[in-house]
Amino acid sequence: MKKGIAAFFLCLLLTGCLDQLQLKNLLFVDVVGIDYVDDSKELKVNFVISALREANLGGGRQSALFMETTGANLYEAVSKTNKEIPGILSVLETRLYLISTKFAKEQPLDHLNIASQFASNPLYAYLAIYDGDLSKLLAKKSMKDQTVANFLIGLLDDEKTRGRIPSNKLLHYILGGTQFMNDFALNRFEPYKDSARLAGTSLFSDGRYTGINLSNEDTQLANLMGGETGKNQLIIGEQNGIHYSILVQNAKRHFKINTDADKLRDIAVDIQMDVKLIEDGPELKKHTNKELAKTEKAIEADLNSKAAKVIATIKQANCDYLQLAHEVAAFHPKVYSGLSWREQYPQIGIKPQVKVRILNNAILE
Amino acid sequence: MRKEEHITGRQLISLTVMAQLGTEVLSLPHVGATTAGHDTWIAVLLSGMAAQLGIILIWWLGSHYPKRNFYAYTSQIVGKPIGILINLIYGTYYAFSGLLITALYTDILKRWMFSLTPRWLILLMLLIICGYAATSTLKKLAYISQSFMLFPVICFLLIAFSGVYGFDAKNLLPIVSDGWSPILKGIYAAYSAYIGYDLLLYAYPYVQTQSKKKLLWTMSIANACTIVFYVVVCLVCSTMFSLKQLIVIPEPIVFILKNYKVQILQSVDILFLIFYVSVVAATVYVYFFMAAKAFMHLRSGGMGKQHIWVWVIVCACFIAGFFMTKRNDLLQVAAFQDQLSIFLVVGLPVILLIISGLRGAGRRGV
Repeated sequence: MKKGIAAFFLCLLLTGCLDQLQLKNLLFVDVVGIDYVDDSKELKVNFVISALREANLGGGRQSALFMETTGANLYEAVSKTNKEIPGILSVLETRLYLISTKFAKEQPLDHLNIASQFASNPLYAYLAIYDGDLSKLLAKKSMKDQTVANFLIGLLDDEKTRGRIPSNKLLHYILGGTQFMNDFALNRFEPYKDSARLAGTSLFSDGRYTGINLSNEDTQLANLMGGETGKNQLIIGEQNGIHYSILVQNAKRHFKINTDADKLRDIAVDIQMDVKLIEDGPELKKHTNKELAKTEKAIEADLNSKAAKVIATIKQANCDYLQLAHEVAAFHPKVYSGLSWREQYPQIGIKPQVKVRILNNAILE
Repeated sequence: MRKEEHITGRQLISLTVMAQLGTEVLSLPHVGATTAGHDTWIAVLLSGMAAQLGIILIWWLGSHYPKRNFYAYTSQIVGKPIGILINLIYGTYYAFSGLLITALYTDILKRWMFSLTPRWLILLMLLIICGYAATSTLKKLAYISQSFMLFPVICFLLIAFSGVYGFDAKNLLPIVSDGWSPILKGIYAAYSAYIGYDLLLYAYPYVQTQSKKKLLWTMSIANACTIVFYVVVCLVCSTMFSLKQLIVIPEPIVFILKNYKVQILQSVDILFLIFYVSVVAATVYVYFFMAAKAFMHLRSGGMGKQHIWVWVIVCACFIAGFFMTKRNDLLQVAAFQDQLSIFLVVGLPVILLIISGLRGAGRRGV
């Protein structure tokens, strides 16, 4: 037993001091911004370094330091920055990689792959796109009384919790991507007044930005079609001139692949949605079963037409956001082998079929 | 020679599981992906079943000489000179295997955690730990392994529950899409991950069980635990990463553990690598122990003392470690060791079993 204990403590001693990093010397990079320098292929990299000042006074004051540098790749940019500021840049706590639209249009993942070479890098940091001047945004001292990093990441965290936006973690896309087709939609920020706001998603095909975006509402629907359960998501719409608001309680998505022998005919995207009816026109009223059925049909019609538009947009971008290629390859391998997916995808018939079931009227009768 | 104390069936399970789980857990999904694609889990499962046949083989051989360990009865089967040569080969093989595993884990620690710490220092510390433990008796090694069993359990739970961060079961479909040829290659590649059950060669006479069948049953439980561990690891990795990613990520488990976000704990992946030292150490000290025992049996009356042999092996490994610095060289040596393992853990016992059977038949004929 003594030997066991001795061996155990020796194991702990392996965490020796040669590789120690003193906390006071570390510069924690919270946000990494990546763009191109003008029209060249050189990277312009921004680092937002977060620190807690005056911690001795109690709660402390959060501060953000902005650094900008250039380099052929991320490693070179880090190396250059280390020469411009005392301390060691650490990506241990990096929470967001923000890329510009210009950078996103040229194989951005080739540059981001190198992030996996940082040993301490949390590869589950968000990856998002900014449709504006990235340096100008990240150089801001604060936005709405928060640091830039907290503001941007807070927006993503909250919307992700509500299930309205895709998860968008860096590791899902780099090194070839976790998905069958490296087609995805990245959360998109745009300039808004003197700060920024979330403005839907940008569609990527084969890891490259297509220049086509989905609005916030489209993103929400695309997410539901992507298999999100949509718990407590608010959907607002209009049908026959009457506004309605529903709270999704649960959504189940199912793909139905229809084939003729070994040929793909079309794909149905079935969504079964259980909802709370919050508002159905300006006046509050008690619904009869007949009226509820009518309302369900009206909402279904509205959602189906919106979902069809979303599908048309992602097809136009040749972005297989729903990963239908994987579905076909997994369950109909023979059909998939006869397809040239990238070329044929925009022509494939994809039909959304939303079914709505009103469970209750929320709090009021 | 020091008299070996008996161990219980439970202790044998701990020793075998710890000896089988080496550095392979970290790289198995990557190695499997390069050969068997998304059918890695099938290859690993079948490989585990093949290892079960290997266990039956060694058990069968051992049951011919229930009172003696492998090194003691080799001379009895093939005569003294060849028996000594076989013991020498096994001793060298186990010392070499111990060195290789230590060097591979040093490489992992160096790449992931200790980029500034000299390589030789990490290697030396690991060798000292394992050497120190290997000077013990089989019973004490079993106690240490039992104490360390908690760590693979924690590691297993961390890996298994990482699936909650989202997995895609479609990654496993369609099953056997490219035929059985890649799976067969995968079985070969994964087999080395199960090596460690050969501990039974030495431990057979020292296990207290009610019957021979009970001993086989005990070994089968140990092997089943390892199979479950490996198959779950491969399933989690295959469902969380695409094939493209698995082919370029040598240690996918570490990437998966990066997913854990605990407010009060930074980098579960680093903690995992530290915990995992205990698993790797358990494999290495069993190998050093087996090597020392083999060398001690180079003379029928016993040659040298166990602790001296162990420290000689540790010194030799430390010196040899200076020549194993390049990762590609390490991987090539590991590929050679895989072939050697199959020959020594499967091939040679088969030959010995046949000779033993023929001699037994001959004696009965006389």
